[in-house]
Amino acid sequence: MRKELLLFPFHVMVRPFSGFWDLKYDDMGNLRIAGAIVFLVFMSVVIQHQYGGYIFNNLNADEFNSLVQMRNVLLPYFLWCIANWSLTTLMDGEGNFSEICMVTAYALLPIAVILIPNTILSNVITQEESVFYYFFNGVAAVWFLFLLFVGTMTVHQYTVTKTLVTIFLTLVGMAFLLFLGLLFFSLIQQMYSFVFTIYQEIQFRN
Amino acid sequence: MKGYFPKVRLSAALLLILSMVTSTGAVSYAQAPYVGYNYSSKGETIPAPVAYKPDRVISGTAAGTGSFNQPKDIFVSQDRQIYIADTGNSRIVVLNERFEYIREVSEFDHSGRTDTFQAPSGIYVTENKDMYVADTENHRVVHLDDAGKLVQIIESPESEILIDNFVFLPLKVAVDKAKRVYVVAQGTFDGIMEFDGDGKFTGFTGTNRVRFNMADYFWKMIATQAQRDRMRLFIPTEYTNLDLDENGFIYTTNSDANTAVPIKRLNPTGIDVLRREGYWVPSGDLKFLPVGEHSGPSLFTDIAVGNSGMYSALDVKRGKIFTYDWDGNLLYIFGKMGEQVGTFQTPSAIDYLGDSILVLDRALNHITVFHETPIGRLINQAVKGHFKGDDELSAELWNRVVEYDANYEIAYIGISKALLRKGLNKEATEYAKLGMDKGNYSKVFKRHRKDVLREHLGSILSLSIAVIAGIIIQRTIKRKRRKTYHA
Repeated sequence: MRKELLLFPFHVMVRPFSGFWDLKYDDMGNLRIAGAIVFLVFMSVVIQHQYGGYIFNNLNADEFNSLVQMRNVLLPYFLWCIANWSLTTLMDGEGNFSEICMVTAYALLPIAVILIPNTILSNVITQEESVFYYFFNGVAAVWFLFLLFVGTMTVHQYTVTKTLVTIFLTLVGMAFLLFLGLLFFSLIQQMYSFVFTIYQEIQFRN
Repeated sequence: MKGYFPKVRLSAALLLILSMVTSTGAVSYAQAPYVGYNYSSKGETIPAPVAYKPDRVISGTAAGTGSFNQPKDIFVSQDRQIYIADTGNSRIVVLNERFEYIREVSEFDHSGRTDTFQAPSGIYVTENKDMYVADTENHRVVHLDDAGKLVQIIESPESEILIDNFVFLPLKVAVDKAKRVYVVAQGTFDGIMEFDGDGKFTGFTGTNRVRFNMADYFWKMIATQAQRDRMRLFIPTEYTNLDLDENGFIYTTNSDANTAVPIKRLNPTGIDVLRREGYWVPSGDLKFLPVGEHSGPSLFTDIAVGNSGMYSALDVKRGKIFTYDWDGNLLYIFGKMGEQVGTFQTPSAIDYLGDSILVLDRALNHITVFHETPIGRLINQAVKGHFKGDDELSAELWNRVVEYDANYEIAYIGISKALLRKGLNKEATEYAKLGMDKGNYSKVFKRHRKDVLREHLGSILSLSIAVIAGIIIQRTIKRKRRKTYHA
């Protein structure tokens, strides 16, 4: 059973329709595996940035920061899950939050699977052969988007149009969440500095 | 034992003298009124050793010819004589290479009567020492021979491609080997005026493209005719200066503050063929303040083409000289605005005197002479070596440049190229990496990869055959075992 669960994400990758169905109704998904996949994707992005071939690597080694990569992977992931869940609960979606998290994570797998070998490839090809590198990167992105689309459709039992609309609205929702988050931090900061200033004033009085 | 004593004292005295000599030597190199810097491949400003330092300042009085008044152009002829267009005094001053007065030309015989210049602001001297003067306020270009005798006068041209009320105000002039005369005139937006050997106007060359931004264009589209008439016109920018290289190609600078290509190299048909293979397009400073004093991109007022494809452009906004090599790599930057020796108020013209650089200042009325420092010399020699095709020599010099300045990334490219020629592909990839040159790296890496494959193909193949054979054997054994188990 354990081995089956571990291999299941790869099955989803190539058989998305039946795969996501099994994930939802046959209890084949596993949150811990989903977490591991997201972590793997994060690592693969870091690896590509750190060890990508010189010709394809525009990174300034002085400015390398894995936290930026973390922000680029983990933040959109959670934003997507939250926004998607918030919307689909209102739009008769049948998926619950953990299912959304699993589906999104399982859809991310092609990125990890392709990016790591592609990084190795990037170290042995020249500029003229760069087409392959960019092609595989593109394949990873397209594959991921396709899986995400099928996953969203299956887990919420939506039609194609409804799925597309949901995806668009989820993106809008992500922007809203970002905006609210920034607003929250900004207000907290101002409140903090206000309280701190009053504290200082009182302290200086005596 | 006694015999040693005087020897020791002598060597001690020698050491003292030696240390004094070297210390004074070091001090004289350390002095430059500006900070050396350059731009890295990432576009960051990085400190660099000063490549040129001011040597001396030549005023008109020092040269023995009375002080200059608003001189606008300087030209060094092939026999190393220095011609200065002393605009305010309406004369041309000629100095020798030691900056001693030879003669001045302020009048010439014009079909029987004496004629004079009026505010000449451009000068060009050909190989056989014919002098072409852009006699601005007289609306003409005067061509004198070596003896100061008038050969020809190019008057205001008449042509249907010129606007009706055209006023010919020649500012800068250059002449190629075929005696074609190129003139940058004030208020001409159509490019450089070209005259044939007989002084006949043949047309414009190298017209600057009209540039406008999308917002302006949009507003103009929806505006009424009356509004449109009152709007700013979209006109191409003027050239500010020009110089010719050995092949008769025209290097130009223009006055557009926002252009992506402030320096151009025009071929005989007027097409820009400047090589821009460096990290950045030759355009002076990459980083500058967006607003305030001395803000905005560099504004070039003159350009001088040296030998081996090097050229230096003079930035009038911040008083800097930017030198580029044939490929468009920024080699070094020097100069500054100020009041000291080696700084400028209104730099107006630049030219090479051998490897020295002369800069004429219009406000300070003097010439500043810049000499190479040791590193400037190394860089120049290395660039020359590479231009001549002697990559081995140039690599050796680049190695010494790197000893001075490990941040000098162009040097690594030079070394990489030389290593590639020697066939040391692996080392060449390392240096191409250090030089941040992806194109070159890719080229070198391809060869390196071929080497590696050629060396290891046999072992890779035999290893993979062994692995495959192993797998097959293992499987057959497994199958046989299973059979025996079932049986």
